[in-house]
Amino acid sequence: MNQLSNPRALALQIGAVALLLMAALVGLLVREDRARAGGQEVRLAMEAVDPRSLLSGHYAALQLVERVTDGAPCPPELEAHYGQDDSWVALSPAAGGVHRVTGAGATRDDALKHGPVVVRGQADCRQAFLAPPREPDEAAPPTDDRPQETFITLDIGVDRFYADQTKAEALEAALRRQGDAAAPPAFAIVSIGQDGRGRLKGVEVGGARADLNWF
Amino acid sequence: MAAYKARLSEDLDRWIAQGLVAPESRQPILDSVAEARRIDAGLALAIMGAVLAGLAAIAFVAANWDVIPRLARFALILGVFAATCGGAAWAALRGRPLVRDVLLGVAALIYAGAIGLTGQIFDLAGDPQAALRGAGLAAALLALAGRANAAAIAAVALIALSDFAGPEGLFGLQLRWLAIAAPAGALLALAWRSRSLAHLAGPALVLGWLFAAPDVRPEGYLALAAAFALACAAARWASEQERRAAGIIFAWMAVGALAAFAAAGLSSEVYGLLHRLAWLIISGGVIALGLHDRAGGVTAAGVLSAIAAVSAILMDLGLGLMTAAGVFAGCAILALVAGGLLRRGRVKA
Repeated sequence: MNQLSNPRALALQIGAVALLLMAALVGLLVREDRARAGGQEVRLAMEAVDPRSLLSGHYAALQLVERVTDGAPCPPELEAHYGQDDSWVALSPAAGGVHRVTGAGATRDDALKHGPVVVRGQADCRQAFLAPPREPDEAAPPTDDRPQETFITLDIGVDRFYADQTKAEALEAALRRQGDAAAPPAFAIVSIGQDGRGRLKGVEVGGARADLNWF
Repeated sequence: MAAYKARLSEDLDRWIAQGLVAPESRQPILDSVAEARRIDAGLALAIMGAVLAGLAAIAFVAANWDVIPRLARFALILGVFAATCGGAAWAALRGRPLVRDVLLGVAALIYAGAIGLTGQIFDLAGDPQAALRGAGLAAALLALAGRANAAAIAAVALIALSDFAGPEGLFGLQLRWLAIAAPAGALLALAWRSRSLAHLAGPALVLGWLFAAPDVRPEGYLALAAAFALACAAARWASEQERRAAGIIFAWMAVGALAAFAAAGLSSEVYGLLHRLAWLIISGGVIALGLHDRAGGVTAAGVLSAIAAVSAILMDLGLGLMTAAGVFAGCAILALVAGGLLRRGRVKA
């Protein structure tokens, strides 16, 4: 520190690194925007989870959740790859222009066996009974025939939507009603790029779509 | 500095009385020692005013953040970063190293914030660990470009945070980036004679190397202890060359060597009581080294290690106090004999 090099050279070095770092940030932004614009768009069902964080700005916390109420079995390979880094999830188009989780794989090719669209991430499938367990009764059938609901939680790194306070609160309120049958459907509009990463493009609640843009 | 000057003044009086220094040299020597910089009330008020103005600007922008267009927000962040770096470059040209150092440290933190805010403004999905790592690398670049301690400290801290933010956290034993960044920080601290950087890089190096990988075998910890001991020897040599900050690194490397040696025995039962005895003897050696070199940190590391070794022996032996007494008596005799031999050797020399 005592023997500094030429002050002019030092100032130039600082300036050059500052420019390089700013260019890196702008480059990241442009690259992400291109990847978002050029990716394949899918609509995924979503719900709200945690409250907004005051420290992280105004945002609605999202959770991509599919509910399958007819007691359908979980898609294949989800459990095997849940909790693993670098795993892939397969999505398939379904009724209503929505994509649904149809499997998982350790690699892109493995996941492609289960659906035409694949994204980096993982999914968890849980089945829950919709009614309390029956009291022990010898006359009851041996198998539990209570109705079940299947929840598939998709984790592709899309977990929040930043907006101003009014929009964030309105979105969160709408998302919190997603358990009700009468609530308007809510979807995350996600772009899946060539690199397999999911990037949020916008949200759609009750048919009204809000896209992310530069302004 | 004022305390040093007062002590020097007393020393000079004594040296003049002993005929070691000419009386006419007294004042020039005292004049050559810079006075401690004093901050007057006007300057203090100006600094407070600048800080409050900055806080007012930040609060104003925060209150209106939502209504500012996204691109304008991004431009604002880049502008603040560019202005801070510009200030640092200006300070470099004007020969104000402290201002340059502080501004580059602030710029490193602004850039770290800029990465997070850019992700928030444009809803970019990303890995928090990668974001912190990127911020750490940016801070390292700023530190190297402007020879800035503060930015180097920010770099080591951000890279440490990125490792801690991993899925398993600190005890996931995956502090691999810190294991590389911390020694680089320690070398920079030695090269730049920076005590503040050494105070961070030293413990970071110990943590980074000890928690770099999971499932380390006892032999691995012994090799690590040897690596720390080598680094300790190098730092001691640098300290003897009166290289500023080397003493701090010396102490932390002693901590690392003792901790790695302890981990070698505590991570398995392979070495048993032999390890505990060696641990106790090495701790004693480190205490002696610290006392010899007047290195308080090294002595403290040795004392703490000796306490831990004694505790481990007591734990191992359970309630066999007679056995414990025998072990400690044996160690005491060994220490006394070694001390006596060393003293005799010094007297003969």
